[in-house]
Amino acid sequence: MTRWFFAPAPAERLAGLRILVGLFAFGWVTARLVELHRVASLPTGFHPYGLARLAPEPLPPEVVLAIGIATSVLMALFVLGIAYRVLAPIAAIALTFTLCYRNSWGMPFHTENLLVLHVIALAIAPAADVWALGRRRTSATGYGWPLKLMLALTASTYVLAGIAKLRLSGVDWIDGETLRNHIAIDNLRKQLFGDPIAPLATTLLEHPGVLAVFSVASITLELGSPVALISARLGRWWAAGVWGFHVGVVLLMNIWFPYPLFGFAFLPLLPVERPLARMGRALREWRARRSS
Amino acid sequence: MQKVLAAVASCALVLVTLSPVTRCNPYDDGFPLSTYPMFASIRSIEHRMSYPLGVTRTGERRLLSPHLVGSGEVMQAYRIVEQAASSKAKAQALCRAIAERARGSELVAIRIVTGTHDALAALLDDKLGPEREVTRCEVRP
Repeated sequence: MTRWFFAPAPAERLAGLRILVGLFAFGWVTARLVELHRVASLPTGFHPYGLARLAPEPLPPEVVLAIGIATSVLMALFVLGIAYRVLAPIAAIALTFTLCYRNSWGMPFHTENLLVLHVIALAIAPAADVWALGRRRTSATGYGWPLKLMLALTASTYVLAGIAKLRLSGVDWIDGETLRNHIAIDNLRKQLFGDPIAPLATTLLEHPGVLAVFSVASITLELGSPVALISARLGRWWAAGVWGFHVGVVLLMNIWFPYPLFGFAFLPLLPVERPLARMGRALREWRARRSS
Repeated sequence: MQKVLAAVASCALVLVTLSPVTRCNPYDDGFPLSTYPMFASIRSIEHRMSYPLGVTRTGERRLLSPHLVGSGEVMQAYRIVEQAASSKAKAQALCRAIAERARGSELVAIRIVTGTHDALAALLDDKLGPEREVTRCEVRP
């Protein structure tokens, strides 16, 4: 177990994860600053979750916006790896607070949970020993364990989703009718709120048999997610299946989970350092050609 | 020693992530620690929900975007309207807020209604069920 958990991995792989996951978090928070301010201005509907409980009353929208901007700046420093041991945990706390606060209005979404968990995992890891602005270090723990931790967190969230279905519906969840009703109701809500319904919703609503297959596949992928920890190859097959599941959710419910849909959730399974190193080399060659 | 710390911190983070499974009520959701109850329960195809509608000068009804409710997200707008529809005063406050955002549009009034619909009939055959008006307010020109 210890050998498996501390199996070596290149420092560049972990640093690559820091850069890519950090860039996603930076882009996500920055792009939603206006929305954050608008939501924080709502007259009712504040029900604090997680770190947002530190603010029992709604904060002034300007303060929320300032915290959001500070989170963006901290995530940029996280990506650059500046003063990482001090700033990365602060960035993780700021991201957790900002997204907790955002989710405390109306209802908690489930699109950002894994992003927060991955940033926390990276913040406690030696993820800025290379490819960072600052002092170069070498970790005594190696660089493989944070990849295992991130993968375990990914698997945990999917297992929880599978367990919730069994707790709330039992095996009835896989008969196709439950999924059909969820798809229909979700699309009806969208329709009545003037939003586009999903492209394949009406087509597949007439075929609950197909939806039964989707139900079985969904719950198998969710409860089977620990296979991703057994081997990288099995993990990649599982990741491909879960990615397909999220594409299906877009086509049937028009619900977007950008973190897994754009592959970020599954990056710990991939040698992310290789394309990043190639990009770095290409950039250096381009600069050299330009200067000569 | 550093490896022990790394192992302990990792185990703690995974256990905390999994801890919502011990909550007695699976609907007791949270963030970022969630029970992930979305789409997990058995649902009837008949669905009761509250939503805002716009009324034009000629009396035609218009569906309103979540932005007019105050959020870009449909689900968040849905929850806001559901919470507001639970009391006449809250519904009237939300109605006035929507009417304020709708100023300068073709709308002359906002209604907040609660409808009970068969979701399949509504989506496949455009057949809506009965609607009850919770509140109504004028849109100032």
